[in-house]
Amino acid sequence: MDPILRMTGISKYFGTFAANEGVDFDVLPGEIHALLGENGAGKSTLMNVLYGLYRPDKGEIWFDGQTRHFASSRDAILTGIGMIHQHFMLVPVHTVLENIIMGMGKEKGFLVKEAQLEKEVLEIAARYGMEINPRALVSELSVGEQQRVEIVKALFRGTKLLIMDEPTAVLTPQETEELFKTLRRMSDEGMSIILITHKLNEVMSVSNRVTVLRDGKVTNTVMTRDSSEYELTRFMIGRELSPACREGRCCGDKLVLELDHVTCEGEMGNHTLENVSLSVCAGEILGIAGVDGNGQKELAEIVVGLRALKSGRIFLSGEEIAGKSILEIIGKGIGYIPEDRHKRGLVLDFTIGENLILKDYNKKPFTKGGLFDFGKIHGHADDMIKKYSIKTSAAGRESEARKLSGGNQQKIVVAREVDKGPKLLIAVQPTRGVDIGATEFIHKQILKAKENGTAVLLISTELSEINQLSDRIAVVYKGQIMGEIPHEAFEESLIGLMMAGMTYEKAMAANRGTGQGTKASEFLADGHVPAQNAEPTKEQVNA
Amino acid sequence: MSALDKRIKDAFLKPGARRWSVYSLLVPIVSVLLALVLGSVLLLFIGINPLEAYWYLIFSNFSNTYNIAEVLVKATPIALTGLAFTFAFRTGLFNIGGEGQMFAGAMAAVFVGLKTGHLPAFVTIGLCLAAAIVAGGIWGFIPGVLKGVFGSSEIIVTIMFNYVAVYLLSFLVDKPLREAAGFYPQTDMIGENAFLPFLIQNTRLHIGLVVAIILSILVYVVLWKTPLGFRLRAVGYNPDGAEYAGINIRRNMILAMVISGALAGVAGFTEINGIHHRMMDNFSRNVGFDGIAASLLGGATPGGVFVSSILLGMLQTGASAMQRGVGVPANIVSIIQALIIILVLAGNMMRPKLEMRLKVKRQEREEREEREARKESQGYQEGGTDA
Repeated sequence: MDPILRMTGISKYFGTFAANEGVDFDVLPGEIHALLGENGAGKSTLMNVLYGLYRPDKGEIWFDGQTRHFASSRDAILTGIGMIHQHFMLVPVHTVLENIIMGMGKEKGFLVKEAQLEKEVLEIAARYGMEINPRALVSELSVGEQQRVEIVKALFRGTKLLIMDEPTAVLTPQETEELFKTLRRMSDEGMSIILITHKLNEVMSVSNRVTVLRDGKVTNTVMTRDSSEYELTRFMIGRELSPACREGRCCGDKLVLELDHVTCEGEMGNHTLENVSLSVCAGEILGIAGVDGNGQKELAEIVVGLRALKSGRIFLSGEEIAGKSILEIIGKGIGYIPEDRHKRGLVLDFTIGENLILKDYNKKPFTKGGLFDFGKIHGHADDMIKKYSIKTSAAGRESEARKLSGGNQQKIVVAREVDKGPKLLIAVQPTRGVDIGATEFIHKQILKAKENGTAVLLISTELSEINQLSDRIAVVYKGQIMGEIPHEAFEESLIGLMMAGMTYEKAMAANRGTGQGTKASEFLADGHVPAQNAEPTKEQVNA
Repeated sequence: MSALDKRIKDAFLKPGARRWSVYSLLVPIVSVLLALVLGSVLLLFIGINPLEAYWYLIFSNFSNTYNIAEVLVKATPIALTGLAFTFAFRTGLFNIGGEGQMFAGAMAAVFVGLKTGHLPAFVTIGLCLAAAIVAGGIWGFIPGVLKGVFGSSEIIVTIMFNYVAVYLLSFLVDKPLREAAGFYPQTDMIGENAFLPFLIQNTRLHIGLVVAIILSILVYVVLWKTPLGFRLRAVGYNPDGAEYAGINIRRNMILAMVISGALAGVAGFTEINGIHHRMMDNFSRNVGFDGIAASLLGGATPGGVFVSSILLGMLQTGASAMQRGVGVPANIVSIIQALIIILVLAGNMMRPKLEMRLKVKRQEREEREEREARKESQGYQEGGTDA
């Protein structure tokens, strides 16, 4: 079969930086082709070249029977290339139909033939098994539904090749599954799809072929079914990944953090945390699993004093810390990697050196006689940059945090919070938005801290991360702890049911009842059933 | 910080424009020159030769010692209110109340000067200075508390507090502190011991200039070389991040406003004890706002503020010479000053783009040179094989 798209020898330079160099890439009709690579590997550049947003410095694009020179994205759209960006390009105050037909020229003439266009739109949606309501306002739609509108919009424009840039980044697992179904249907109908992603499991589950980019060059193009996640990782980062791995349970008997029936109120007076009791020992990692927004942030913030608790008590090494000031609590030896490094963890306009002393700026040895000792501050910065292999910009330790990549920004936070050897380390989403290499590195640092006797409270929505690092796992749902299991009993389906609101006992029963994990996850994907089950459970707890 | 507050602040100084680069110098210099060019169009409209007018505007300042001293006399309070604005700005606060804080300082200085003018000079001057610092500090403290505790916009509150100070001053010179003669709405002269010593004989240049220089250095050291400044700047750049690091945001916001107000208060002290030696209605108007202009022009750095305030001082003293020389209304200088501000703002908005373009150009040039160097060396090699 002839490819519908062939890109040969594409090179694109920004200054001296080669974003793409000699890239060959092709897509067959009806194929889902994954474009895989770490942040900054050149995926987006390549696609922007294809979509007419950048002009390549070298190379040729051959699409749908002839060589093309796209001067703008309009040219690309007219020849049948559609692109759905990570951030949707929809007008929220317009209806779905208005968004779909906007800018197509079909609204020419004095009156818009809405009824007819609506029929066409519904036909297209039905053909690919998508449900949309053309009269709904975009602002009223969920993220998944908005994405569907974007897809229909592209289809309506006669797209033959659809580029999707990290389409699952904003979706829930259920919405992701729904999207993949649609994509498979579209590929069955002969549509070609390029899926830009850095998530391996998605590549494995939906694509036919994969092209892996690294440092702007293609490292390999393989059939998905002939490859494995392991192999793709190697192509992607250019070396064997040695994932950080916990070594057995070394939990001492020294209790470090203890939460005793902690309840905390949100802005609306609702309970963001309810009756939470937890404990973490020295040298132990307690993982908190849960769907985002179920009280994880609050849990971390009440421990460090950023948020007041309504009732309950918090002990650090036996000493009550609830109600103390943030400064006092930090001083007792708590390291805290916050979930949002831009908002909390860093002052982006400060240099690396300044960010590294954000919590110790007024302590020895950085301050002497009321003035900063810049020799010490710079020395500390250089040490940390080396020890935590932070890649700085040209300005070295004077680089502003703003100018670094997400992974290197996070390394600054990790260096600051871990290096002092805290009694307790709270890590919230420590690897969110961070590339694989940095993730591996950060995981190792967390494990190292644990080995050195730090008690770690790891809060993450990534189950794989929880599984990889935790000695014990507690699941949080709507601010309540659904149950706690040791790592040995880790089972994704079980945790999944608890994440959806079942207590440990119920989840165990349901998990055993359905027998297989796969079935249990379907049960979870449904969403409604466990939630309904959870209601009586909650009342039981309260009674 | 409300969205509106943030937008106003960003418009004044984009975060990118806070960093040092060639543009930190280029933007203000080009803005001043461009403002003069635009002003000359205006002068042409009223039939005046701009070159002649500008000759008076600039060079009259250097014609004799007295005129040079006058420039510095004008620059002194502008530098101080400019420092006040700069200090608050660096901590993320927009203190528009320099004018009011200066008047608060002036009222306190004049009151103390009237009551203690008979004491030895260093005592009475010290007391006047302390009173001005306290009064200016209080005038900053109130908006600071309203901001820190209740979240009110410090921009609005400080603007309002300017009016409170101006009319309080009017009231004071009209009734309670009116001169014994009771003729003009002004106070009596403060005791001669409270006069600031002059730096140059037969000019009005007083020791307040030295105070301004010392405070400039002090502000620089505090902001960039001490933990206190680190804390204040952290709150300014990212309050959430500062809170996370255990820094008390409220307390530091209030502190920043107090220090800012105190700096402006010192300007009131130098004006009273150094120049006027009494307080009258409408004295030294707009100095607080000129300070904002100086801070903006100086890139919100103490050194830049000082240089800019001298420039503004030159424009203001030159304006009267220009009026005398070619009959241009001195107000034209206000227009030029406003143009400078607009152009600096525009320059700061454009700066990130310009810097990016500069960077790309530099990279391209390096790349080209590298390629040529490679080609040359290849050429030599080929030549070698031929032979």
